Amino acid sequence: MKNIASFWFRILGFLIDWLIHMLLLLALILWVSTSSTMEEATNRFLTFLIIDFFYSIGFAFFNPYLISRFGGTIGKLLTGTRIVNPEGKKVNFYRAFFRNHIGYMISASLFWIGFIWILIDKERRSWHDQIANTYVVKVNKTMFIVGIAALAILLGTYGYLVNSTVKNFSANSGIYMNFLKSIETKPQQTKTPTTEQLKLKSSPVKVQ
Amino acid sequence: MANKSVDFGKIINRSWEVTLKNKWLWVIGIVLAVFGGGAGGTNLYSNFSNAQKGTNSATSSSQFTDVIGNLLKSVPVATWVLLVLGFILIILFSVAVAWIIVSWAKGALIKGFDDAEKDKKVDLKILGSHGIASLKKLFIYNLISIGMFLAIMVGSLIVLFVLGVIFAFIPVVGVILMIPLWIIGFLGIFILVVLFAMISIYAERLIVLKNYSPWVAWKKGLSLSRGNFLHSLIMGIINTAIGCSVGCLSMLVLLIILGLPALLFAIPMFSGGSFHLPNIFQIIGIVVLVIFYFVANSVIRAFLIVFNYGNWNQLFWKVMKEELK
Repeated sequence: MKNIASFWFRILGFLIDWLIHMLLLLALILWVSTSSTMEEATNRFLTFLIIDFFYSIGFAFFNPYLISRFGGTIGKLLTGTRIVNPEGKKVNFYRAFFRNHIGYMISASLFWIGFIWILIDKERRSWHDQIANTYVVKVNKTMFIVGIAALAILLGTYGYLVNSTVKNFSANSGIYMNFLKSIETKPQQTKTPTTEQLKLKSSPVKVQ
Repeated sequence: MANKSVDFGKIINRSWEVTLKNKWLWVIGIVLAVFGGGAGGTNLYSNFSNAQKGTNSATSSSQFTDVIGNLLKSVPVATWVLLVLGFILIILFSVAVAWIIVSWAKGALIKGFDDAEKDKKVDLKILGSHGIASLKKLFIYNLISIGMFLAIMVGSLIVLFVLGVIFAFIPVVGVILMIPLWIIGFLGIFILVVLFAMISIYAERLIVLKNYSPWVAWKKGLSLSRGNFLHSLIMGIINTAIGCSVGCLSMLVLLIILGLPALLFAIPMFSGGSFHLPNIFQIIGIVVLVIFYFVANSVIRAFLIVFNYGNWNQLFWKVMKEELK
């Protein structure tokens, strides 16, 4: 196979994909952090969980779709790399799904050795590439610069979102502190004593 | 087959040789060690015991205060419904993926070991294609096997319920039959688990090595495990005994190799009768030792899984040869 993508192309593509995934989640956390009441924060947090659940499932199918339709995930497309079969053609959805889920888990099963294998293998194939019989090739070398630029933008956005989230949580920390205090200082409800208990209380104590 | 003797020593030696020689098979062993299915067949017993553990460890009661209760009441019902739906979908997706991985790895290991035994080349690419070739059939077979097991369990529970109703009306019969029924019940579950594991051992090999369809493989697996119950049982006992011995020995070796350095890192933390926070070198040292322990443990488990699969593969071929005769 010609034009095999180097480790650096692949790590760049991976970082871009990971940051895109994280940015959406971080944007939702930022939304939670702007809550002004505890009720609002709870509702938003649960909504965040719902979106996260459905988004994770959608994302699990979205990346294999991109690979089968365009030849790579957003990260791979931005770095000018493509996932191909031994004939140099695009892989089908099932193989892409197998590579991205089953393959990744197998590569990660022993301390991510399967990913590090790219550095060892002559054809720079990870375990998930070998199992799914795929190759990662370069189609445009200059796209590496585009990838670097995309990474810089994503990192900047990531930093901004983290900073804003921390600031918001700090500014609204009062609602969480008050909530915690209300739990601690809430007076315990006293039960109405039964007639039997009242009788026992009023009866004189025998001193032996 | 029951009349023929099996040279278990020869089987073990050959499995040991092939396992030592083919390191790529260990990768599949690691996958099976991580995701379950390392018993040489379906992992019904571990599933069953895990389910029991789950029910036992349930928390006694919720500790929500009124404040938290009111807070949760402010959440709309639709949010809870969507949350539960999303959670169920995530669980189902994870189970399906884990199931696919186990089915793939079983197919890859059974066929891969068979190739290795015939001195054919075995690498991850070849193993990957072997796994994909029988993935669908093994996935369906696992559904059939688990489905049947659950159906039998549900049937037993219904019988138990009917008996409970009868005993409620005639308490004397209940007192007399209670202990024998408990014994029969537990023995029945044990035999069922062993039988299903044996069926799977043969059926999975029939699917992968003889290209059987899942349902036909299950039926043939049942007949093979009935006809070769004793040999299968001995093989299972040998595998368990070797697994336990190697496991204990490796733990002892790891304890000496890793435990002593860990002690050297830990002693300064407790000097002078009080606890001192570890410095960066101590933290790095302990983390490295823990990682090394997990890697070593995974590799040993992977080796044992490949070895077990090898033993079952060889027994399977011996059984099939006798069947053909």
